Amino acid sequence: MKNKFLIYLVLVAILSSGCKDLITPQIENNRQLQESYNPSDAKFPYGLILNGYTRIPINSWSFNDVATDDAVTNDKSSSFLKMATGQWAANNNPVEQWSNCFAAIQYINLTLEQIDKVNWAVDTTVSRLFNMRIKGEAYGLRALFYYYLLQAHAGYGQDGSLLGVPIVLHSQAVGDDFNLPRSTFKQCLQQIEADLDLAATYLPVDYKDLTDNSQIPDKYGTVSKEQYNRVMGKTMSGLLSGRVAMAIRAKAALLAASPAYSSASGGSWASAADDAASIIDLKGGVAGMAANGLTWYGNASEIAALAEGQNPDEILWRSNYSESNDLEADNFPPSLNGKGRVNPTKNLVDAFPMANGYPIGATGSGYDSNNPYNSRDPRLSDFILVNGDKAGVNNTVIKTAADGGTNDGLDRTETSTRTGYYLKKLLRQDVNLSSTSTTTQRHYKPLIRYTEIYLIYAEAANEAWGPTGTGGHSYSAYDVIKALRQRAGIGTQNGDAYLESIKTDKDKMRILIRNARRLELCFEGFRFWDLRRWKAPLNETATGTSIKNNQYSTINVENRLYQDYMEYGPIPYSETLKFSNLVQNKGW
Amino acid sequence: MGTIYAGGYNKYISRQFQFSSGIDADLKDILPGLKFKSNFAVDYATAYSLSYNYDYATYEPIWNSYSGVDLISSLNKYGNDATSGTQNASNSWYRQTIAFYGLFSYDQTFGNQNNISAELVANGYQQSESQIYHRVSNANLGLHLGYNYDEKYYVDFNGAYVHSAKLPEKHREALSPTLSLAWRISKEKFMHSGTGFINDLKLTASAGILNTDLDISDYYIYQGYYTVNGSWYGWKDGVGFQATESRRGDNPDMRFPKRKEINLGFEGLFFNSSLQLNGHFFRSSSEGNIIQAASLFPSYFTSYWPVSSFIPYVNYDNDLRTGIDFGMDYHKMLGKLDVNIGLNGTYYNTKATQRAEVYEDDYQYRQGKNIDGIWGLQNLGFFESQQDIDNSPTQSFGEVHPGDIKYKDQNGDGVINSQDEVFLGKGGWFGAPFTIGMNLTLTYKKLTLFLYAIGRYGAYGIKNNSYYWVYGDGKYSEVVRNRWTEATKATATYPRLTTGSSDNNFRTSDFWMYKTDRFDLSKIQLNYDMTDLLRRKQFVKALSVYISGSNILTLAGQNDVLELNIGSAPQTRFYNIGVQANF
Repeated sequence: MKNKFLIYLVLVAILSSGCKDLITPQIENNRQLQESYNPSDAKFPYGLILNGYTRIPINSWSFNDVATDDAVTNDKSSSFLKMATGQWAANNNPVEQWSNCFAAIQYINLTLEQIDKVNWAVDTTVSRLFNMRIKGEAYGLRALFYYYLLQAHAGYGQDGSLLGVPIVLHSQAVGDDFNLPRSTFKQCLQQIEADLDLAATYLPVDYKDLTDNSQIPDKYGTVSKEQYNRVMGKTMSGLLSGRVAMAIRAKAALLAASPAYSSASGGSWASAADDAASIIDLKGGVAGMAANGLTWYGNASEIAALAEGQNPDEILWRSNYSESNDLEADNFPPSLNGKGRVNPTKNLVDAFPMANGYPIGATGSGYDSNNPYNSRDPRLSDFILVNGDKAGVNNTVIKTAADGGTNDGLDRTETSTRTGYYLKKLLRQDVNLSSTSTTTQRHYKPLIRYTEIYLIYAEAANEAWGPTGTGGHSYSAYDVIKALRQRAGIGTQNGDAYLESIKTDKDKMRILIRNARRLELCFEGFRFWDLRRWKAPLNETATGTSIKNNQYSTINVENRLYQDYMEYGPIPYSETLKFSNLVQNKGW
Repeated sequence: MGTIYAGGYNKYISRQFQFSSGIDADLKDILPGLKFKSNFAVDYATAYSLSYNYDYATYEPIWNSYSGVDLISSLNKYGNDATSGTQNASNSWYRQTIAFYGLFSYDQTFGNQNNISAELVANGYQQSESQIYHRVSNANLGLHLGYNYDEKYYVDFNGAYVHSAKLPEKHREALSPTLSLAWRISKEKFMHSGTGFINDLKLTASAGILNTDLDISDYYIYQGYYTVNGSWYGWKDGVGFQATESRRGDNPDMRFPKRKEINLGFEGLFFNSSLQLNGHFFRSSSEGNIIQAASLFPSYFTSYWPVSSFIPYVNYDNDLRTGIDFGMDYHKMLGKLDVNIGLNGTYYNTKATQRAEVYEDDYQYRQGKNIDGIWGLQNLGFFESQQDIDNSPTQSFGEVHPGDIKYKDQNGDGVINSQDEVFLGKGGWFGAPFTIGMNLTLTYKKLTLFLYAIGRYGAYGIKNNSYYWVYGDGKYSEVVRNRWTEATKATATYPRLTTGSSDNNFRTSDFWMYKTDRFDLSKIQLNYDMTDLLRRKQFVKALSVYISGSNILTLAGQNDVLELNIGSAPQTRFYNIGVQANF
């Protein structure tokens, strides 16, 4: 009797514990891809494409400018510093995009394979519109990531052919053949264009709320404006739009037409100019250039008014805003409680022309090397803190002279400048970092600015049709540059005599346009790849200015130790070992 | 102090409940020697805290000097005295363990010499704990069959049939057999007659395959999954949601990692049992250890941020450990001196027999090398001059100057980089390759001396902490005194100093390597029993005085490195004088 009771007890105990984890594992919510998705579950497949958005390489500031002749960093452990001073290698590549971009492409391919399985909304028309929009986003993003892959990894293989990266158009899984060869640059470019063509067929040019059914593009069929606005309305304006796809096309076309790739890329200057012009036309030509676009990062009232993903005049595509002071904490001079990280070089300072529009070395410029910041391009004081400039909430005078007496002076402490200059661009001077009253300000990261598009046009049109050629458009490279210089406030007193003097000289114009790009887009991560794209010298020593007893002298701050083959980035070393079909670029 | 006096109170309550019940049945009616045993146990532990948390005021005196006398002029009050009257219950916790086993055993001797034993066990237990979703579980069936003839020849078979819910459905069970043989050779006639000094000697051999899920860290790791709690992305200034991220790939073929073991050994007593010796050889190969083999997949299959992985867990790595251990114990009275010497030691070697890895150069493969290998560059001294730098392979760890460490180009490609890293030595991370322990007890009348020493040999370390790697604005230790300068280039033992960082010098290489061989006198104690001296004082039952020390002495080539702690409390030697009394 007693035995029976005990056995019974044992059985009850085992059954009550349910045998979970003993015989079979306790259930876990480990979600899998499905054969179909309900509208209530549509977040799950859409969440896949967000892996594309979160991986956009320019979502945050990289400051790879400190590996160029534009700047150095005082952070001795910076990987960019190490790269610029001789440590760049296929297995030590701070500008690698391979893993990040291909991971994004994997998720985008997964998304594309799910889209048709999803009931995006109960309303089948809305569901169809979602289906189109998300396909468009996916194709557009895939093109974006292939563009960044080409920028960072395309190059000439051992056999002398211009190679791109493997083209992967389906999601990959365990058991697949990963040993894929690199497609040529030309094939990659064609793939980018094909994806952008598809994106254009699915996406509206802009996400905005329509007020009348007649405004709905034909490609969406019979839908009401309410149905349209729900899917493509203004609340979606932070997503990849048709206009963004056009900008990606222009960027890719410029890359392909550039000297480093033009011989085998299949790209041409004229098509790059046409691609840029199609956006400029939408923007209203040269006159559409945002008047306050130069200081987009500091236009306080404009930034305060940002809402619902809407773009300021200068911005084509941007990230969400956030309240922060990280940029300032990194880059303010030490006396304003910053770390003084990015130090612009004298090379860059010298690239700013005089206020009269002449380069400082040109005759008639009026440049005085003993008073070098006098009568200079107003952008210089917008972007760079020079000795004696004022900065911060209290307009503190920043003394960068070696004998300036504060920690802001040249090489005083580990947070002092190494060049005699501090960064001012991108930073909001109304951020206070004092420990007793630390404040933040609203920041956002532009993903594409219209200024970049104008500069793409200027560069490509000058090469294709000469400084004043229009190629059938209503403006020339000269017109664009003139407008940019006017916006910057140079040459306004003398009718921009310098620009007028070179407007028939394509070569001088090229130098001017490249310099304009250098100045307008400085510290925004362009210079590193522009130098390579142009086949420009990579090893200009980064210099600075030492001021003692009011005497200015130029100092060498940091050598640039790039080899010739470093015009093109490497394929990751680990991948070339794993996959024999992956040819390394020459020299790496 | 204030917290104790006025901060309220906190009551910690812990309850334990233990229940155990079993059946013991002698089934000799069915078969002589057959028994059944079963046990079922529940342990339940629960704990929580009940507290009243009171605020209290603190006062800061403000001192002022009045005509040369310091007096308190006022008090600053911080906080208020307040009793909330609220009882807080916190830290509640429970743990429940349910264990069950059932056992049939059989033990019988036939004809005085044939001993047969057998056991069949079913065993399971499960432990659940608060706030932990999965329970710790274990279920297996075991079978033991044993036979010995006259305690001379032994044959044992043990088999365990294990079940694990951590594995995919068709691979949840596995059989782990072990076979052991033993021969008490001292019972053989030829040993008896041949030698007189052997009291007992037994030779043993065993081999087995063990399946275990102990190293499977979690449930469902065979199953890939997506999470909807990925990185957040917003597109409307604040509106957005979290990405759907894959966190691992599928592997429906996951199996138990196996351990294949072979043991050979002997144990014996000699010379009137005053000397005891034993020794074993072991070889243990663990196969199919579960890893995420990133090198079998493209790099983009995994990323740290955003957190994403498509890589499955697979049974891949194999490790081999072989070695011997031995022990000796000798006990003898030499006149009035009682001597007891013990010695034991282990020597083992490890080898990674299978690894998922891809390297260009053969010497870089971890497979075939020790598991605890230190990998790094080989140094060739310092660069003597700019000319020396120009004539040497390019070093890709930043600009080099005379006085920087020069490395060997292993693959001859003219560039020194991480591909030139080779196996430098054993790190001894799982214990030094050769360990020896010794103890000695000498007793003479009332005086006892005890010594314990331990020796560790065969491993290496890297001098890579901030004491040895000094640069920039760090603190400079005495090691830089003999740094490289133009004047000291012939005798320098430390690279040139730099105000920057030096990735070229401060990286793992044999320049920084040292032997961690050491022999430690861990414990020494001298004891004197004084009970007899105090015999008249009856209330003291026992009294002894002792002097002892711990970590007294380290004999090593690199004492200064081994006995140095940076960034933590220093190592100590410990001396003790004591009296021990029983009343």
